[in-house]
Amino acid sequence: MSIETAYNILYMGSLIIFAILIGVMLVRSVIGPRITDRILSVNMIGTMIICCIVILSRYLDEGYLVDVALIYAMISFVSVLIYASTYIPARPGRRPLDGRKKTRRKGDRRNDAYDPYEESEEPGPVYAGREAEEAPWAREAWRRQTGRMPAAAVSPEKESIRNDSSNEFGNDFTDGIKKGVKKDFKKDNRSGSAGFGSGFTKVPKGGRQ
Amino acid sequence: MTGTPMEWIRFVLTAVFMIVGLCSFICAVLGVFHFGYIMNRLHAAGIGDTMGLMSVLVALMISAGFGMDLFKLIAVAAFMWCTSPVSTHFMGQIEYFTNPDLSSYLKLRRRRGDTEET
Repeated sequence: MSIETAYNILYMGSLIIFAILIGVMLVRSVIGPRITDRILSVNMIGTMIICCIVILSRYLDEGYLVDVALIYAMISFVSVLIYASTYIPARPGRRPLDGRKKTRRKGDRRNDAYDPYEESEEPGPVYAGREAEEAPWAREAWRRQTGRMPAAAVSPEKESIRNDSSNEFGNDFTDGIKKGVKKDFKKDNRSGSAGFGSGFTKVPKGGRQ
Repeated sequence: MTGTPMEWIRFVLTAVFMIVGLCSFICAVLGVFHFGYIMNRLHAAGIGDTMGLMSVLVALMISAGFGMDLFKLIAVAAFMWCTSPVSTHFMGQIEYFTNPDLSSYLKLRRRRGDTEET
């Protein structure tokens, strides 16, 4: 047996096994119950195809196929980024579809940033600034209608609001300003990067698949 | 048998690394089918992206010898090692943002805006 025959047998065997593995991953992309299972299987198929291309480059002794494999790796990475940009909301007040709306406290203004998962209400006119003190009836009407304070009702420069110690307008923004603490609005909003939880300990409800 | 002993040693090394890579990919695929949730599957798929790909590329680097192909294969390996964890992280984020039933699978940390009704 010559060296070339041995190499050919090795490469052909590897290619056949990779082809079988790619077919098996295609099955996962069909039956995977969630979108992320399918994205994962496509990503893995891409990785295995990169291996196939570089094996072919040695089998056929063509050096340029490695460049093809490099470009394919870049394309498969960019495809996952595009999937992610489609499904991950990019707003400052973003949060998962976990039903966390139920846990809003009354007067909690942290979630007043625009949330794509909340249905939009008709806000009506907002009485802010100087008009806010002159028209408390409008603020009360807004509060009765929507169940929360108007977003632009509080401004930190206003002396009267700063000295206002009534509890019904109590929110962290003015409290923080009264105490002289700068409140980082962005940090309180839920962003996705801190949200993976403490572990993957549970088995799904149907048992193992 | 034709070929010098050096060439046969090179072939044996190539074959060893190739078989290790194939076994890693088989383990990754088996893991993806064994686990029931996407987060565990991501962990299993990482085996293929790192160990499997690296072993196969090292096998081909040994087979190619010292030349232009060697550096191109090193470039492929470096690129995939840098971008594969990013892809995995994004897939985890997609799952986090699109699954309404996340609390039944994961133990989520309590956040500042939550009350005990969660």
